[in-house]
Amino acid sequence: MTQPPDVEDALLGGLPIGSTGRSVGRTISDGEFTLLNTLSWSFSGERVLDGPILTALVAGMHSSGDHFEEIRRSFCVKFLAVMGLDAHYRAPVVPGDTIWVDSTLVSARASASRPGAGVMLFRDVVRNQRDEVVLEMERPMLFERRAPEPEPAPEPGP
Amino acid sequence: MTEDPFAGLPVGEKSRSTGRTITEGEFALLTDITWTIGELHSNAVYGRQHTSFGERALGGPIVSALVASLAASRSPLSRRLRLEYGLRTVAQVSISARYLAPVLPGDTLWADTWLDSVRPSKSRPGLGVAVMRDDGINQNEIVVTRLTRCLLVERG
Repeated sequence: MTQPPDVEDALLGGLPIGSTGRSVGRTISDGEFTLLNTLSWSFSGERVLDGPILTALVAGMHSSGDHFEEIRRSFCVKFLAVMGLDAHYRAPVVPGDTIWVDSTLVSARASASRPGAGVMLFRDVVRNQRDEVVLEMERPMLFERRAPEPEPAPEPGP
Repeated sequence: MTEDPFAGLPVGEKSRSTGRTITEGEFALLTDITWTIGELHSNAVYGRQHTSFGERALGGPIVSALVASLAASRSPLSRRLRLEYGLRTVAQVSISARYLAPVLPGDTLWADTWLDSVRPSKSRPGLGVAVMRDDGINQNEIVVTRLTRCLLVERG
């Protein structure tokens, strides 16, 4: 479904395609490691963080951080849902490791099936304390644009 | 010609895992420990007022992690692959997920799992690459997520 140019411009105009942000670091303590593997029922017995639960940590680190919040607030974006993910595991994450997420807004387009909504694609590269890449992931997210907040009324003069 | 060590595996055979109810407590723990702090996932008032389903929804990557674990540890197929065919996962290579419906507190999930393909690894002699597919199903038989998991495996 193609949207009229003015609708598409209101949806996609000005979005910071190519912008990047680094998350705060997160040390996966032994207690968190145990909780994460237990809560997700990852019963392999390996002392390696289960890959799929790592993707959930990474998505949370990005969506709770400054890059995501800046896009949300400055560009009047309302994120509706994560549509999916494609992740490749590059190295194991073990208890005591600290990870950072470098996220890039790769692209944005109008949704083919949902009028008025769009799809932003984020790419995440996750590194550990040795600067090794442990995970690479892409996440399409469904979003809408809201009307900008009205400018506050000027203060009355003296 | 070398014999394919992965021949004879039950490709295409589907099995359903045991179910798992996502209690309110587990929902909160999973959401908090993964820092999934968006209001869609953490604010019940927001869920009531701003969603068609009237509740908080579990974050998609958490859903795929739960379904992948159900498939790997609680499905008859995965048990058979381990015990009857001697298949062992050496490493997880990748996962692809699509989220099709929300998972809410109190929902129950099952994983329908099948071995899509398996072949010898081109770069790791003696090992294989197995592709598993999983559908996450809820108590209304709605598919909430579809997964493709690629695993590095060995056969004992």
